[in-house]
Amino acid sequence: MNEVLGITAAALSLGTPLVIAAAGEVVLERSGVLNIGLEGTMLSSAFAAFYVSHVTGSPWLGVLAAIFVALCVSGLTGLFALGLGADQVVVGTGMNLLCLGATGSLFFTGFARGGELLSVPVVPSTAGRIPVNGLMLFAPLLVLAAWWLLWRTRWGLAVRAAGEDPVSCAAAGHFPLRLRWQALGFAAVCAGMAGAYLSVAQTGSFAENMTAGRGFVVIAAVTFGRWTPLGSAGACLLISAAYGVQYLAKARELPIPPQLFDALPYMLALAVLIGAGRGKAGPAALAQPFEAGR
Amino acid sequence: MIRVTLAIAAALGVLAALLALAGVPLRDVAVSFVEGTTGWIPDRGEFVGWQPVSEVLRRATPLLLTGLAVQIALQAGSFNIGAEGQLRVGGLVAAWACLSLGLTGPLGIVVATILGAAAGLLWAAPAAWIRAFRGGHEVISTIMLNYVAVFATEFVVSGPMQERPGGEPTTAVIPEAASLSAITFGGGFVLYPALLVGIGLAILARLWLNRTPPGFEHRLVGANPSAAAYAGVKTKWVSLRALLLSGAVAGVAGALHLLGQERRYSIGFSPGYGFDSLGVALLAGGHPLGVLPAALLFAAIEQGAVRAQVAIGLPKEISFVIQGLLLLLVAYVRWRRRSTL
Repeated sequence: MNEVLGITAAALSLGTPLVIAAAGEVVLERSGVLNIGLEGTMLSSAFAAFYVSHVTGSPWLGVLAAIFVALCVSGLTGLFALGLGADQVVVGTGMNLLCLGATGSLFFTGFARGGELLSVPVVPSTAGRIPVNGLMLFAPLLVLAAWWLLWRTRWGLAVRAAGEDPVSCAAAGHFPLRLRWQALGFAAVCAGMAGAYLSVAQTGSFAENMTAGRGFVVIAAVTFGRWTPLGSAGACLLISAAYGVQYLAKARELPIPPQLFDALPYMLALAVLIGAGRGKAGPAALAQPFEAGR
Repeated sequence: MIRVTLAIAAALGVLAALLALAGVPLRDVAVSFVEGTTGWIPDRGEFVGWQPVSEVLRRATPLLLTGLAVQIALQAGSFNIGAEGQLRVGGLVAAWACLSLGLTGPLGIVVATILGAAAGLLWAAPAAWIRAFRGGHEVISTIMLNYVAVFATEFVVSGPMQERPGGEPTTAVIPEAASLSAITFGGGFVLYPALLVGIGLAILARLWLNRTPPGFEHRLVGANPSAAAYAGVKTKWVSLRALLLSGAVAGVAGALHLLGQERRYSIGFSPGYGFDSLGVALLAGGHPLGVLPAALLFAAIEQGAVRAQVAIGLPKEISFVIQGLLLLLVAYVRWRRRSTL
């Protein structure tokens, strides 16, 4: 029983930032944008939340700052990938490098000189076996919002059309580029909260490259979850549960190499890709540019 | 060429403006970059030796080979973000070949490199298969394969192939006779033979792409897959082959990095060459030989940033900012795709 509680607590604590970011990424990918730069967006947000929480003493102001920074970073991504029609994968890779360099430089200049780990105020959390913090509550709300937006609104229908066939979408009187910008905005809010979670909810600190590939894990989870909000959230929780099981295996000294659990989520995602492929589940125009007036 | 040069100039201009705003003395930055990469001290008009140049060439070697690997896939329209993983398995398999099979001498180096290439090819195979026959984006699958490679090799060097049980997670050092040693010339100039292999492979790739029918099909699929299919090219097989070839070259990069520089496989085998290589390949544009100046530029930026951190306390992470800005601007001038819909 203790083990189950422990795994659940770890899955929720580690999985929340993935679930939040995936809620945004799924809407964005449905609109036809593959945001490789999610990793960098989350990293910048984590730094912004850390910095503002440190300066003002308020973690919630930190969360707001993280969302603002995520919107700025995504704005730059959108400027190149949507406005200028540059290749989404190239732009995303560039953004990741830029964010890694910018946060690393700022952290080095402002904080790393003392050599000690700096703690900043974190959002309030309940006590108990399964602690729940303030940011965790947003995860189910955002997943439901993504589901409702995509499948219960006219806007969502248009967004999905922009990701399937932007030309027909435009012919039906919508503006695919505008829809993609709007989806990018929603994804940025989610990525900002996910980044903030890492610094002002989970650790209360910042470290260089602290996202450590979580942005890519989210992209994999969206694939694994077949581009649906609930499926992606489930994939994120499954991945974080694998980490939870790993702690258990370590505690019990089970003769299972920890790297197996580390690699498991990625192998599962690959197996899904090999077994099922994109089929009809993925947006047909994912990562395809669209030029208005053509 | 002119547009890429302009993009590089613009990236440096943006960075200079940012640094000036932050109150960093730009002249000192420029001086330490020149000192750190050329060995020439502008203030004293003095040349301190070949060590900085050799260091840039050393850093450029794995970037050149992995950059070439990514470039080959790009020519057929595929993004191989998995060079990092292919490099790692290539290096580990080369270490295994030297330590367990006892390969030595020139023949041993050739066999270990071929085994490394095979490992890289096999590591790219799932992504190639998914891309060709399952319609999944290779960017996603190669990222997954990178993680699996990192953890799988970590498992091997902290268990089956560990040097000492309970010690550092690393393999033993390969014997001197099995390694591809650097050649030291007069004046302290050091040449890494792997660099020459990289240049040779880039020339071969250029000839294959431009002078042979399969190379033409390769570029045709990259330029316009629908037109290629209409012309009777088996586009699926071509993109499968492109990613496999790319993986093999990344495997060669790993094997040569192990035989020539690291001489053992540890967790820190690659500080992210496979990720930097994407930038190198994109900067090189459509020409396989372009990876040479691109790799040298990336290596010089990293080397210069290290020097600037020591000399004037500028964070060396600034090199990522330069590379990111470069990629964004090159994406704009060169990697703008027309809507294919």
